[in-house]
Parts: sequence; C-alpha cells; structure tokens
Amino acid sequence: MENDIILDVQHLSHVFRLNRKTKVKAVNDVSFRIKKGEIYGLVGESGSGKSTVARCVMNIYKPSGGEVFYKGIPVCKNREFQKNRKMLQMTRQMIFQDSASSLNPGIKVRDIVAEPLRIQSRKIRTDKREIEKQLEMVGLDGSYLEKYPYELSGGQRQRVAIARALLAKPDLIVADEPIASLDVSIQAQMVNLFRKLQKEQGFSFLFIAHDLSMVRFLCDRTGVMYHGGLVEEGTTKDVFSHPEHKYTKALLEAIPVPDPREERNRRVMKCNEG
Amino acid sequence: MRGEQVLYYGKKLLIFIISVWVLSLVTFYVSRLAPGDPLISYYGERVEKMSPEEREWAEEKMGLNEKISVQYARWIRQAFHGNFGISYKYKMDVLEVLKSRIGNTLVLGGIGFLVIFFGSLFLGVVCAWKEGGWTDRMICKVGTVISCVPEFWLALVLILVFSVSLRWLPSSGAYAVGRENNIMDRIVHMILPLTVIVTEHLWYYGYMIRNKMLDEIRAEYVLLAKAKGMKKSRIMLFHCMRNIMPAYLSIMAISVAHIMGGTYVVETVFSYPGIGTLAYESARYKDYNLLMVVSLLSGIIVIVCNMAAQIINERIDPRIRISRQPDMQEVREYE
Amino acid sequence: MNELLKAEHLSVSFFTDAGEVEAVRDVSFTVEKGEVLAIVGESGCGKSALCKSIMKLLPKTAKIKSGKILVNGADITDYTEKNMSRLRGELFSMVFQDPMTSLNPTITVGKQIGEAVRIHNKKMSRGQIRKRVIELMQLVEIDRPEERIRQYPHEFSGGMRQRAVMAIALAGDPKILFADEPTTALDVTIQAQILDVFRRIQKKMEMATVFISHDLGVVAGVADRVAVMYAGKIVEIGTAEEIFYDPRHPYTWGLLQSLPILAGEKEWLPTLPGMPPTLIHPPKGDAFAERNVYAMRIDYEKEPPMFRVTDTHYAATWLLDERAPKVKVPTGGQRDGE
Repeated sequence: MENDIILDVQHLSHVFRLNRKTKVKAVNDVSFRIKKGEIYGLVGESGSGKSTVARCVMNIYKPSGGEVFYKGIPVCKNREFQKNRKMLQMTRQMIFQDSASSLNPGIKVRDIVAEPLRIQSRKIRTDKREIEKQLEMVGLDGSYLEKYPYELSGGQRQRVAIARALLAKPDLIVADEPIASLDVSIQAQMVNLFRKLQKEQGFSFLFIAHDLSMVRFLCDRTGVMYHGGLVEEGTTKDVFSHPEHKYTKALLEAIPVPDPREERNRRVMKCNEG
Repeated sequence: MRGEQVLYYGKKLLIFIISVWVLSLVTFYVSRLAPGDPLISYYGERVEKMSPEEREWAEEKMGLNEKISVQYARWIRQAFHGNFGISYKYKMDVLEVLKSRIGNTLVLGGIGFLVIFFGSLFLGVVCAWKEGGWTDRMICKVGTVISCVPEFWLALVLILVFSVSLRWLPSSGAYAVGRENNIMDRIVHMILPLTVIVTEHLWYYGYMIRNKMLDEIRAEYVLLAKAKGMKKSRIMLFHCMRNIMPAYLSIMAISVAHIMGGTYVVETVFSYPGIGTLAYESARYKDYNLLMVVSLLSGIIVIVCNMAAQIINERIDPRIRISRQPDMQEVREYE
Repeated sequence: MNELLKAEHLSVSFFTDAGEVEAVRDVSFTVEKGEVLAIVGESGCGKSALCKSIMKLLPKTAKIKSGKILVNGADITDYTEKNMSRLRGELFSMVFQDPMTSLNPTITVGKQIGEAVRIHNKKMSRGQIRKRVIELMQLVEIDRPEERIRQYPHEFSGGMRQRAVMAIALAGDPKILFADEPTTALDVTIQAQILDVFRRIQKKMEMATVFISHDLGVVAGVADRVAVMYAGKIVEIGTAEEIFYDPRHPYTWGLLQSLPILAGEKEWLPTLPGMPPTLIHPPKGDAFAERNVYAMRIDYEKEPPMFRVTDTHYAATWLLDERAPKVKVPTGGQRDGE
C-alpha cells in the first residue's frame, strides 16, 4: 500500500524573507500525496504558493518546514538528497511555464532534448534516432532537430520541453503552469498530449494551473490552494461537483462559459445580488 | 525606522574606515617594497657622492632604517594627529603641497566630469530619438572609433597639431609664467587637456544612455503613454529619462574614479600641475609621504563615490523599496 | 450615422529581415456607438496588429499597405504622428494585455492617471486634476482612491493595475476603446471581476469597443458582435448569438470545440490539428485549408469570398457555396432550420 505513493508532501511550509523585517509565508502547512500513475492538479491564483510547492518538491527551494518524501526518501534532508542525487535528478523532471526563458536560446533542439541523457551517461553524442523518436512522440517531426528555440512557436517550445523531460523516462513530472501562456486551441492540444503520454508511459504527474477548466479535464485528483494553504482536496469529480470552500466556488463560477445568453444572465444575477 | 537608518549608515561608515585603512596599509608596504632610492628625491644628485655613514645618518633622520611595520605604526600615529610628514622633494608639509595642486585638478576634472555627464546624456538621448537614422549611425560610429584611441596618444597628436604645427594652443602647464591670475590664460591652457578627457569618456557613457533609453522606449508603458495621447518628446523626457536616471546616476558616481584616472594620465602628458602629476612624480621618486597622501585621497574619492552609487541605487528607485502586501480589495472577497 | 469606426479593406505588413509579414490582409469591419466588437483568434493572427495599426502605434517596420480607416466618417489613414497624438486618448484609447509592464514602475499611479487627465484638459488646476483622478479611480472601482493615489504600480496587484490602466485609457473620455487581451494575464477570478467592471463602464459611457481575445469563452459575456480572425483575415463575423449558436466557419467550430468546458465527460478534447501558417508567404487559396478536415479541392486553389448568412452574419468558407456538400456541424448551441 505504502509503495503506491510516489510523492508524499507532509506539512510543507515555506517562508520568503524579503528583508530583515518582512517575511512572506508563501506556503503554510500543505500536505498531499500523489499515487503512482496519478495526475494531480494543483490550482490557485498567482501568489497562492502553488509554484513554491512545486519548487520545494523539486529541491529548488529548501522548505522552511515539513518534509517531502519521494519514493519514501526524505528529499529535503541534505544527506539523503546527496546520496540519491543521480536517481532524483533523472526520475523527477520539471516543465516550466515560460519555455521561452527556460530553454537555453543558444542550443539546438536536439541538444536540449538530449541533455538529460548526457547528464546520465556522460555520452557527448546521443543517438539521433532516439531523439527523433522522442520528438515524434510529442508531435514534432525530425526537421525540428536542428532548430533553435526562438524559431519555434510557444506551443512547439513547450513540446520540446516535454520531450526533454520524457527522455529520462521519469517517474514523476512536475509541470508549473505549462499551458498558461498558450492560446486556448493550443492548450487543448497540449492537454491531449499530456494525457496520451501519461497513458503510454505511466508516469505520475503534478500539474499546476490557474485555469480550472483544463484541470477538470486532465486530472484525477485536484487540490485547491489559497493564500499558501491547501483549502480543498479530493477527486476532481468531487471538487468540481461539490465544492466546499468558498474560494473553490468562486473559482468555478469564474470560468467563462461560451454562451452569450447564459453569460448575460449570470451578469444580471450578480448585479441584483450586489 | 530611525534606528534602522543609523544602523544602515553606521555600517557604511565602518566599511569605509576599514577600506581606507586597508588601502593605506597596502600602499605603504607596496611603495616601500618597490625598488628605488627615496633619498634621491630629498638630496638629489648629492646622494651619489654620499659616504655609507652619511647615508645611514640620512636614513635614520628620515626614519627609513626601521622595520616597515614600525614605520607604518609611526606613520599612522602621526596621521591621526593630522601630521602626514613632509614631502622629500618639495621639503614641506605634504598637505601644503597638495593644497597648491588640488585646485587645478578639481577644476580640470570637475569641468570634464560635468561636460561628460551632460554631454553623454544629450548624445544618448539624441541617438535614441533618431534611432537607426543617419544622425544616430554617424554618432555611434565616430564615437566608437574615438573612444578606442588611447588617451596619451590622442594627447600627443593634439599637441603636435595645435601646439607644434599651428601654434594656437600651449602644450603644457596650467598658465604661462607670470600670468597666474589671468583667467583667460588658464582657460586657454585647459582646452587641450579637457578635450582629451571629454572625448575619451563621452561616448562610453553616451552609448550606455542610448541603449538604456532604447530599452525603455520599447517597454509597454510607452505604448500606453502614447495611447493616452502623450507626445513622444514628453514621454522620452518625463517617463524614460526618469527611469534610467537612478542607474545613470549610480554609474556616473562610479565613473568619477574612471574619469579621475583619465585626468591623471592627461595631467602627466600635459605637465599640468595637479594631483595627477604629483602622483606620478611621487611614485617615481619614492616620495613616500606624498605618495601616501595622494593615494589615500584618490582612494577615498573612489570609495565615497562607489558608496554614493550604492545608496542612490538602493534609495532612489521605488522599485527597489519593496513592500509587498496582498491587495486587500481582492483578498477580502473569499474570506 | 452611427458607424464610429470603419475599416475598409485594410492591409498591414511588417517588413522584417526575413521578408514581408502580411499581418493583416484585406480586413473590413465597422463598430457602432455603444457596441462591443470582439476580435478572436490565435496568437499571430494579426488581431493585435489590426488595432495598433488603427491607432498608429505600430513600430516603424510596419506599414499600412492599402485600405482606409474612417473615424466618424473622416479618413485618418494618412494622418501624421502629430495629428494622431491629438486623437489618441480623446477619440480612441487602448488597454494592453500585460498590466505588469504597461505602467511606468517609477511613477505613482495617481500621477500617471493625472498625466492622462492633463493632456486633455490643459487648463485644469492641480486640485481639479486630483479630483478627476479620484473620480476615475472610483469609476474603475479601485477602493480607497485617496490612499492609493500615492502608491507605485508595484504596490498594486495585477487586477488593480489593469483597473488603473483602464482609468488612464478613460481619462480623455474616448469614443472608441481598444482592449488588447485585457484579462489574459490575470487569474480567472480576477478576470471575471475585470470583465464585470469593463462591461459596466462600457455601458455607462457608451463607448464603441474593440475587444481582442484568444478565448471565445471570455468573449461570450462581453461582445455584441464577434469577428473571428485567422491568418490575417476575418473569416467569420456576426452577432454573438450567431457566432456561438450558429457558427458557419470550420475554424470557429474548432475554436469552440477546443474549449474544455464544452468537452464534458469526453476522453479527448477535440482540437484543431496543426499550427497556423506563417504570414511571410501566406498559402495560396484558403489559409485554413491545411487544418480544415472539411477542406475541398477549391480551398487549396481559390480564396473563399465572404458568404452572406444573414444581414449581420458573414463567413468566408467554400462550405457555404451552394455547390458544396452539406456537412454536419459538430458544435454550437441551438440551430434552427438549416
């Protein structure tokens, strides 16, 4: 039973010190678990601490309280982290929101994708066919191998970032708002892609977003963050059909509906209430 | 808040004192370890004819035969009482020597600095205004070429052209003999050195202004300012300029040292009687006391300017003064 | 005549090192007083360039190649920068996408709004300007304006900044407002607030508004009419009801389908395959043909004209030609008749 859980976040807190006097509690006592092969959605507005959680999970920040267990290893303990460094680096991968700045602009796509392998095996030249296969999996053909990130559109760049993350055959992917800066139509493509890849490869997925509608479609379970705390958690179905917290309700209500008459009625209702 | 500010400036002061002390220590040791005979500057030619006994006596009189650490301790003790010793070469109090020269350097360097300060601003803004036009391209090209020419070489070329060939301008000194109080004469003597100082540094800072300005012009708030009906000139002067000012001021504060170094070189080439020539001579003739004072003075100016730059950066720009609180209007609604 | 803004066969190109980018190709539309026209399309379809070209806010590399812009019946296509700056703010104004960058970080919000006020009322005294700034801040529903007038942009949250930007845009009582993805950079809940404020003000001031978005969901609550843009062209235009309940262009179908809220319990989101074409050398025929599952041979050869559906509803697709086979429309709310 215990082995089923790949990521166990317990009472995680993180405080940012702006200067000597001001401290900001970005994350406050957050606990959740992700099972093997599960897609977990973490939603909340900007500044709610969801990205900080992701960074603590990935050892980018050192949390000021609590513990993160990955496959049973307390990764926030420095000694444990050092002992398992290689494994942790390979089997956990991250995808960022802004692929324009998270991909090195001076490196070709083939080298970006091959990078995790190089870290792993110290091979300078990786098998071209393998990279091509990887790109195909995310829907890009071989012609993209020799391109630079700036020659790609936002959606294509994000695909490259995904290909890079997948090459290491990770067990956990953490994606910090991977679709927020894309067009709605491209967002749909990406969400389908995530779903397909997850089915094929069976990795666990921590999906961070501020847009509820995509989370509803993609995730098995959902946690809602508000002001540093996890205010609601459950299966996506439950959260969306019976929201408990006021903020979750507000989030759900705020999703725009592509129906002019309904939208107008909603607006009228709101005016009457206020 | 008051206590915090006292702490802030107290810290700065402490750093300042430590820096000056380290500087004096290093200068003291390095100058004494370097080869050369300090007696030459005091006795001149006579040193060559001195017997070993006479030499020993002279060294003892000047306190040069003790260990360096002892010499340093004595120097610092006297310095605290305002006694920096005498200059070997000029045979008078080093402060007096300094006093007679500092005015010239301040005037030359100061005017140079002001011209560079405003000239760079002007050139940078003009280039940014006419970005890509021929004015911009011309200024950029000429400026880059000129700022690559070494100072001493440019100085020599100017002397050759304007003093030797054309005989329009004097090639050295701050004034002609006997015309010390003639302002016109002093101005004429200043033209060539000033030209060298300004041309060497002008474009370096002008180019920086131009690029910073262009960054600002591309910012989205300029588009909004345009959309609300502001004219380009107003946007550039009131919005863009304001935003680059903190960065420019702090860089210009650091540049004081840069320009001062340039002034020293120029003074030496033009034999202009200022601190620069003094620094050069004192180092060359091992006039220890004078060297100490000149390097300390220069060092203090550099340190003070750097600190000013830092303070400007931290205090003037509102972006750096962080105070982030959640926006209450938006928060309230779900709690 | 109510047509405040009219664009006739407008074409705008950017001249870059890589070649001529035809960002806007032969676009015509009108906006009436008090009406909101939404322009919807993917990024790079030219919707933003279209608005900026009307306000002449494009960089020097861009040129209006052909067509006319009429404001209140007057042709402003060839206006100089000097004349334009007189019109901006007073006749038309603009709200930008990213409130984080569209305010000057070193000047207080109050001053930035006040500046906009003063441009249009040069004789106002300091006290009058302050009063007007506070009025504007109240109009965009910023709480405690007397206090916030002294604050810098970084002390404002994203939503509050966008309100401040709106206040600036409204300072000169513009007749026409361009809103370039004003809520895209904001959180969903804040987006809803801003859209509410926006709609209220728009109704109150009866501005003609051009609202740009890539999200059809956002547009539904705001727009009176919707224009769908693809590869620099308007491919479908109609009232909001017509576009949402009776869309005729396959691209509009695709856009609507890819909204996850309409996907329900489906396993896969329906998507538009592929990417929009580059506008350096736009493809021959219908630019959308390559991504169009209903494409016919003629789509690759000849550009479709605007077919009339109703007096207010037009779409540029060969599917509306009487010789075309009838296809089952995959999306849209209610469809009567057909």
